[in-house]
Parts: sequence; C-alpha cells; structure tokens
Amino acid sequence: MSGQEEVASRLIPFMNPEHYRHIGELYHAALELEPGERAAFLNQACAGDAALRSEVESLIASHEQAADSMAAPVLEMAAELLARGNHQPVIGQMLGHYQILSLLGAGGMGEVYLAEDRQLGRKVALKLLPAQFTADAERVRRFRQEARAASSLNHPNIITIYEIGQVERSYYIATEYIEGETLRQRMASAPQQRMKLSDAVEIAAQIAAALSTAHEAGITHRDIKPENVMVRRDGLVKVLDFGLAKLTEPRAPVVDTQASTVAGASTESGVVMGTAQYMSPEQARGQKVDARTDIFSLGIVLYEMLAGRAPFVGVNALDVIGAILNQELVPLRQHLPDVPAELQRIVSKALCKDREQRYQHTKDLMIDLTNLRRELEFEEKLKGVQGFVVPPGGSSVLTREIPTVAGTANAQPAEAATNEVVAARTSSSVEIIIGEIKRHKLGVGVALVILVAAVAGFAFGLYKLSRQNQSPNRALGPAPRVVPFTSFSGNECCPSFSPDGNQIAFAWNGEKEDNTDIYVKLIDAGAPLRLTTHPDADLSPAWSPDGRYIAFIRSSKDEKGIYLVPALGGQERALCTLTPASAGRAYFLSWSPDGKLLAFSEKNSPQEADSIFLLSVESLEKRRLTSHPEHSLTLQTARRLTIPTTHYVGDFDPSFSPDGKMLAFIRSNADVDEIYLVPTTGGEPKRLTNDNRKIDEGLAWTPDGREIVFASNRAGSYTFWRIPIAGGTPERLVAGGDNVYAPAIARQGNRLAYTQYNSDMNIWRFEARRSSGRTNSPAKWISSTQAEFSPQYSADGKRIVFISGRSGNIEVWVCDSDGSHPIQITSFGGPNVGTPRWSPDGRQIAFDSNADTYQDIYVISAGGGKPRRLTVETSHNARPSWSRDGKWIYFGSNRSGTWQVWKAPSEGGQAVQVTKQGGREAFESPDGKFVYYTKGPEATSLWRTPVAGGEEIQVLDQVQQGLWAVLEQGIYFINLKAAPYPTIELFSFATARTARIAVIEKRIPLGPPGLAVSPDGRWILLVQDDQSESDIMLIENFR
Amino acid sequence: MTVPSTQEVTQLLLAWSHGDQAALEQLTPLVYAELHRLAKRYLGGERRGHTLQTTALVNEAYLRLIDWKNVEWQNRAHFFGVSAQLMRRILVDFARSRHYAKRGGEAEQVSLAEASMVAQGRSTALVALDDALQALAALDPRQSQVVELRFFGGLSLEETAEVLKVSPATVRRDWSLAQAWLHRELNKTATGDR
Repeated sequence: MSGQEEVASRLIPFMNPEHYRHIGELYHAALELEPGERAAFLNQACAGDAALRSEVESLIASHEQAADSMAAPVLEMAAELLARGNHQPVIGQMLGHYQILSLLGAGGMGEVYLAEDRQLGRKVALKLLPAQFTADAERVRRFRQEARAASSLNHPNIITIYEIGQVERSYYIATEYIEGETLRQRMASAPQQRMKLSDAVEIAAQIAAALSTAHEAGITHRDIKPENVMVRRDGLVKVLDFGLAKLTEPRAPVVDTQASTVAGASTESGVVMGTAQYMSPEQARGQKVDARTDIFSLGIVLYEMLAGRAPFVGVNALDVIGAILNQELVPLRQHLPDVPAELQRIVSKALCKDREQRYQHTKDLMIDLTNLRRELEFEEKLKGVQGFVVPPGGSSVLTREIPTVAGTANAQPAEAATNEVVAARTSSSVEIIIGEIKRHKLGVGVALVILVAAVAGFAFGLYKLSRQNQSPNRALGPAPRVVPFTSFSGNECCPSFSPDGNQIAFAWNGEKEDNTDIYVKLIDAGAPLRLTTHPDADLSPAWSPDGRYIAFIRSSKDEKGIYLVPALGGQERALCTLTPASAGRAYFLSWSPDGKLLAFSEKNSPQEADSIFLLSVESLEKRRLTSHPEHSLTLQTARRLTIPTTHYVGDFDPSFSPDGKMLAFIRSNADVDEIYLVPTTGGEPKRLTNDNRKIDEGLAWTPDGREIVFASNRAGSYTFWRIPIAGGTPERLVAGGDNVYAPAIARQGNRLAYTQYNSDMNIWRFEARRSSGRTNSPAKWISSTQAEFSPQYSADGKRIVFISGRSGNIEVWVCDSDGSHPIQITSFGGPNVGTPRWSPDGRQIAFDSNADTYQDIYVISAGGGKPRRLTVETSHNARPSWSRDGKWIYFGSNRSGTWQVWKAPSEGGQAVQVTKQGGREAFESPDGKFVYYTKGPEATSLWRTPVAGGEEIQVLDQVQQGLWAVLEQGIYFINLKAAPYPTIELFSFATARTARIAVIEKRIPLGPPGLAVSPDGRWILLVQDDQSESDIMLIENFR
Repeated sequence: MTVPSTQEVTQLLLAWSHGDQAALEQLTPLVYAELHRLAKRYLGGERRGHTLQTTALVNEAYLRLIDWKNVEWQNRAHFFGVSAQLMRRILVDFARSRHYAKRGGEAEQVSLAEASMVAQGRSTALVALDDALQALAALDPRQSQVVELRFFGGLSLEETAEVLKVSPATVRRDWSLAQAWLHRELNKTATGDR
C-alpha cells in the first residue's frame, strides 16, 4: 500500500466533502470570535456532536500552531534540494579548477569523486560535503579549522589533503587519489572474512602509525572504521578523513550503521555520533573523546580483521551501543584458537572499556604491533626452513601463553618473549641452533648478535637461514621504547656512549644557551658533569675505546681544532688544528676500535671541499683518506670543460666499523647525500646508498658490523633508517620519531642514543602602526606542524605566497592575506623550493628550486600549473625578484665564478649582469630607479646601484639576507645585533634615519627568508621559531 | 541532447495544460534542468543569505523556456496555474525519488517543523505534504489548488484569487483552513498516529 492510499483510506471513512465544508464553516466562525468566546459558541453549534467539536477544536489549535508555517513557498527548500541534490549529473563538470571524472563512492560524509586538477594536471579524490553539514556557519568554521590542522599532518599512512575549498556553497576537500580498496572491501574478500594474521597485524600497525602522528599533533580521528582505511595495491595503508567526524558531531544526532538508522541519545555533554560498531564507550556515552577513543576503535577493527566479526554487535545501533558499554569482550581465541598470546594481549588492552586501562599512547600500541609483525615474519621464515616444524597446538614463541611474572601485575610486552636464546655468528649466513629450552630473561651478552626463537620442549637441530633484508637479531625480546636521556632547555646534541654503555658524552649550550660545552652523564641517574668551559663552541664528543678520554672539536669563526679531555674531568689537550669551515654543518669524530686513530672531515684548504682524514693519536700524523674525483676542478673549469658536474660539497661524518677495517662516511652533493664505504687502509670508496636523498648528522654501525643506522629525509622529515652494509633497501627504524639526528649505538647493542630536534617555524604577523611606531602583539598567522617560511604579499596586499612543508614536501603555497584558503601551487615532490616572489600584476610567481641539480629560477602561474624554467646554466641561480614593470626578474647567480646579481627578461632570454662587486639577493625600489641588494649569506651590508647603471653605494649595515624588504617609505629589516632582542626596524628614505618598529622575542631561524611587509606598510610578516630545542633521547631495547 | 527551442517547450506546456500526459514526460527534464541551474545560482551566488525569491525563480525559468511573444496564453493567471501544477509534479517526484532512495523504500513521516532542519527531512516532508494534499483535494479541490498555487507556485493571495477567479477573502479563508488541516494531518502521521 502506498503512502497516499494509506492517508486517503484513513481519512475518508470519517469525513466527506460535505462534512468538511461544515467543519470549515464552524472553524471560520469560531476564529472570528475572541478566544474566550469560542467554547460557548462551539457548545451551541455542535449541539452535542463531540466528534465534530473535537475536529473543529483540533483545527483551531492547529491553526495557531501552524502560524502560517507554509508562508515560505516550498520552492525555497525545493530549490535547495535541487541545488544540493545528490544525483546531479556532475560527471564531466568543472568544480573550481577540478574536472569531475567519475564517482568513487558515497557515504555519510558525502560523495567522493575522481577528479582532475586542471591546474596541476593531477588526479585527485574530491569529496563534496553534503549541504546539511555545511548549512551551519559555525560548524563549517570548525570543520575548516580541523581540516586545516589535519592537512598539516605529514605521514605516509595519512592521506594527503591538497586543498579545502568552496565553490559557491559547496565545500569540498581535494586529497591524494589512492588506487586500492577500502579495508572493508579487503576484509570482505578474505575467506570467512578473516584476514591472514600477519596481514591484519601489518595493517593495524600502519593505522597505529598514522594515528600516532595525528595524536602527537593533537588531532583525534573519532571515526576509525574499515571504510576510512584504504589499502593500496602495494600494501601501503592510508587513513582517510582525519577531523571530518567532527563535522557531524554537533547537530546531526544520527547514528548510522549499515543496517539501521536511529536517533542517538543526547546527553549533557554532547551528542552521540559515529558509526556504532566502532565507537568507544566514552563516545557512546556522548562524553568528550580523546586519542584513546581512536585506540579503542582501532582495537575493534583489528579484532574484526582477525575474527571475521566485530566484537560488539546488535540488531540495531542502540543494541550495539549497549554491548559496547556493558558486554564483556569475547576473547579473540574463542574465534581463533591459534591466536598468538601477544596479539590477544594487544587487542584486549586496546579494547578496555575504561580508557585509563587502555593503551595511553598510540605509539605504544604501534610499537607492540610492529614488534609482533616482525616476530610473525620471522616465525614464517622459520617455518619455511626445511625440517623445521612448529608442533600442532603450537608452543612457539608466538602461540604460547605469556608466563606470568611474579610480582608484576601488568605483564610488560617484554615478558612475552622469555626464551632461551642461542646465538651463533658467521659472516655470510646464520647458523641457528635450536637448543634445549631454559626459561630466563633475554640475555644481553657481547655475543648478542643473532637471536633465535627456540621452542619450548622441542628438538635440536641445525638450520641455515639465509640472511636477506630481515635481520634475525631483531626477532625477539622486549619492545624498543624511547626514553629521554636529557631534557634540558637549550640544545643538547651529538651523543657518544662510554665503552661500558653506562654513560653518554654530549654537547650542550647550557641553561643560558650561551656556550656550548662537553658534558657527560650517567644513563640512569645523576646531574651532568661539565668537562669543558672554553668560550668557543665545543662539539662532537667521541669517547675513546679505553674509556679514559673524550675527543671533541672546538671551533670559533676563525679557529678550529681537535682536543682531548679526560672523561672524569681535568686538563684538556689540543691534538691538531683544523681548517675553519663555514658554519652550518656539524662535524663528527670517530675513534678506531684500537684507540689509535681518530677519523674526521676537514677542508684541506679553505678553497677545497671537505675530505675524510685520519689522525694518529700517538704521532699526531694526519693522513688524507678520500678525495672527490672532481675536487680539483673549480666550477669555472668544470663549465669550460662542459663536464656535467654535480655540485660536490664534500665528505663528512666518518664512522669506524666495529672491526676497524672500514670507514663509512657521507658524501654530499648539493642537496643529495649518499653513504660510502672505504677501507681504512685507503682505496676507492664504494657507494652504499643510491636514492638521491639527504642524509644528515652522523652514521652509526650496529655492533655486529652488519648495518648502518642513519638519519634521512627519504620519508619527509628526518627519521632513522638502517641499511645492510652488503647493500639493499634502507628500512625504517620503528622507534624514534621525526627530526632525529646523530645516532650512536652502545657497544652492547641494546641502546641507541640520538639528538631529537623540536622545531617548528611559522609565519607571524606584526602590526606596524606608523603613527606611534608601536605594535600590537604579534599573531601566529600561517602555521602547521611543518615549517612555514619565505612569505611575500602580492602587490595588491590581498594574497600571501609562502613556502610550506605541510604536504610532506617543501612546496610553494598561496593563501589569502588573512591566512585562509591555502592552496598548494607547486608539486615538485621532494627537491627544495624557495623564495617565491609575486610578479607586480599578481599573476605569476618566480621562485628557485634545485629540482635539476643546480638551483634555478622558475616562474609559475599564481593559479598553479606547469612551472617555466627561466635559467638553464650549469651554475646556481637563486632568490628571484621582479622589476616593478614586471619585465625583468633579478636573481643571484654564481655563473661568473662569484655571486653577482643578474637579471633576465621575465618572458625568457639572455641574462644581464647587474652587479660587479658581489651581490646575491636583490629588490628593485618601488620607483624602479634603484636595485637594492645584499652580498651573500654571511655579509650583513645592504647596497644599492642605479637600475640604469652606475656606482654602487652601501645603504645599511646589519642587514641579513632574507630579512629585509624595500617599500616606498624605506627599508624594513631585522636588526639581529640589537640588544637584548633582535628588532624590526625601518630605515626611512625621507629622513635617512632608522626607527624601531617592534622587538622580536622569539627566535628567528637563520637561512630561510623571513620578512615581508604589506604594501600599505601596516602589516609585517615574520618567520619565527615557535620551538627550537634539542634533547638527547634513548631507544631502549634497540635491536 | 540538444537544447529544445522555446517554441517546443511552449507547445509541450500548452499540450500538457490541455491534458496531454506525454507532454509532461518530455517537459519535466527540461524544466528540472533549468530550475536546477537557476536554483544553484540563487543559492550559491551573490544573493547568499537572502530569502530565495521563488516567484522570480519560476518566472526566470519560464522566461527562458517559453516563447512568450508567439503564444497566446489565456492570461497571466493561466500560466501561473499551469506552472504551479508543473512545479508540484516535478518537485514532489524529485523528493519522492530521493526519499525512497535514502530510506530504502520504507516511508517515514516527518513533521514540517523537523523537515525544515535538513534537506533529507525536506524531501520527506514534501512527499508527506503531497500525500495530504491529495487527500485534501478529495474533500475540497479548491483548497488544494490554493495550496498548490501559493506553496508550489509562490503566488500571492491576490494572484491566487486571480487564477481561481474568486475573491482574495475567499482565498484567505481557504488558505487558513487548508494550512490548519494539513498541519494537523502531517503532525498526526509524524507522531505515530497510525
């Protein structure tokens, strides 16, 4: 029966047109009376017909309630329906600069389309948000805020958000397009919906990694479920929709499950939302949620992947919520009898109803999952070995119950593996002896080289296991965990272990952050002992193999040398002087294991690049070990010979292998570093890595001499990787976060110490009120968890171009002057990109990039698109800026052998040299008559020369490259030498005097351009370090 | 699909107003597309935040679709009567398709007040309203027409009176009772009086 028939059949038996007309007459008559008179009238008019009277009364009541409710014609809402209706023929249409190609899927949060970004020529996934979520301006504002925060997350397991935008009243999110399937689809295709153990753990570990990064940035997902996880064909997991769940929270009290839709129970503190099956108890109660909610939801997903069903189910959403709140968790092993005890423990801990009992940090869950995955992999490998059979009902390490440790209420994950370990060592293969089982804690002997899981009550045997990428010595034992070794204010860096592994020497710039000296400290306790006090910077400590001395490098601007100081304190001794190097790079020392040699890098002469040298500690003889094949060629020579050189920077960070036969070092080529190995006796260095990435600050050998741990930006920011010295693909270290450097491994092999940098530079806005010369408090204007720098206002003051690392790579972005609508303009995806500068008409942006070996100038449309390369020299061309008529682009170039300012026609063509006595960063004066320029990174003077040609004159002292701007009224610049804090100052052309505009209390990062002034002179953008600090951290249970 | 000429649209509209149901089938997608385009512009454009001018929207749609010069309409009122009817057909069919698509065919009644909350509710309310209007037509066809003209056609009291050839006072009375009756019927169903 259709709806209309139902209505008609209900009405007609009681009423006909005649009846209705009569009712209508009474209704109108009654309405004409005063309300107080109506009852008497109806009493009389209905003459005892109660049904008639009640009918009229209900219509009068209804009339009052309705109160012209239909006054607004239906078209208003109908039009909205039509405009936002979800079956518009959108395919093929343009939405902003996106052409919609096909529908990828639809869900509660709107439809997702495959679209092509016509500006950047790439495929994107475009999510259109439904009208009901975006009708509320406040909600939209919060959503944008959240989505912007989420878009700054940078992690391989988190989908990259390219843009959050709006076309008319449609909001959309453009993200990276992923070819793959949702975890839901993946689960559905598994036999009995149960995924392979190792696959499930692998996927859960990747989700945990994504969540861990988000949680550290203060972002909770709130809606982790299989539909929000994509699995790429290569197995990489991407978590979608960070922060989007928040959009549905305030006024959409609807809980969706696949089968049912119910209104959620509203509570005092909030409204229930989300997908019922994956809700945490606190979410189901409508309480405030935090990161631990995501941990619970991930627990459900993991459970479901393994068991083939979610742990808490019901016939409708309310039922499900009831189960989540009250029902005991059915242990995983009831579905899966062979489930490893460790996995059972992980799932149960994630699914504790009381969030205080749950994992408190996602990182802990991630580490447990990752370790388990490794163990599973290793076990699989063992199973693959001929003759090795895990007995039925398995008592292998993975399937055995956790032995309870007396006196320990909460068994640590570590205790899961309390097996006898038999280790053996050969150079090329591993011989594994599965021996008699004795249970005791994991021994950490010097011979802890290769650990093997042996099996309880099991057989003896000898098997060979070829060693490939997987290092068996990581198969077992307690989970690695990161603990702080120092947490002082200021910078602590470059740790070096004492030979017994109980102490660490490090450099620290002190409580006052004024003088870097060498300190030592016990690992478990104690205050640091200061070993040096010299006013010059003492860095790079290296503990001698006999434990008695610490070698270090002392350097000032003019002097540099290697020194020794007794580890217990005392008289220091100079070993040798070194050629002073330009700042900007840490240097490392390494002792040979016999204590006779020190390896270091140094420039043989100030003109040359750094090479590796060996110093005999006894004879103080120096021996050069490496020289670059092209080291003797100057840039000019290379150009003349048309040798396609890469820009060789030098060899750095030597590190002796544990047997003392080899040295690993970093060979640096412009913006690419590779690890090389060279015999300590000399010879041709052999390249170990080959992947065009940066490697920075120090190399560490594992004590077995098989691998090297290093910090690389291959996954975005600097993280730790390990590579077998036999070659292969680097593997990321599980523990240790982002921005880590200078790894050092204890000789015992159980600990890795490193420098953790905590830095976040953002763009701040200062107000420069010219009348009073004072400013309001600065506001953080353009920020993310990644670096933002190099801002510049467009000539109309309405837009800002800047550099941001928020997409995971350094790219050019443009936003409105209030910081809103950030749009990524370039997509180089790796190479450095810098100094974006507007053309005067605001249509184009010039910038530099080292995408092709040398730094070159590129021009791109301000709306994005394909960049046009302006310079093609075999030399560096950097820091572009436009002439005021837009016809020329100035830049610094070393094509003549020295850095000079050049200019090239902005449409392309022959460049013309502008300066003769040096120049690097130039801006034309607003009247187009002069070129102002700095002379280099270290030079602090500002010069000018007439555009038409003529003599140069110095305008100002104390102007740092990247920290100045020319306006009509004068030159804005940062005076770094001002005391007690640097200041923003204005040199007025009219008065030729300098006035202070603002005092800068935060740290200004040196290097990236940091100052921009709005055309009206009212606003100043300045890059500031919101955090710049480093600590030394330890990875315990390093394997 | 080629864009039909204004003459074609006009002929279809006239044919339909004379009882040719096949004409409606050809007409609907054309009017829908035009309305959609306009509605989108109104909602997204410069007038954001302003109440949508329904009559303007309808007028503009028909101005674009219909060849005014060469067709003798009986009068302006006739046109509005036809267009309101057409609008109701199109919008309700549209809402019905949405409504059933979303609910998997299981009808759920929602009050008008709730309906104004979200678009989903709106389509549900529209379907319920259409059902109730049909029931009302069985009791009083003119009241049903008044609602159609005013609510779906966006006509004023006076315009409605002109179309129906009655006095504005009569329209006011019909409108008042029809609203009260519809409001009660819709709330009855919404509060589960089955």
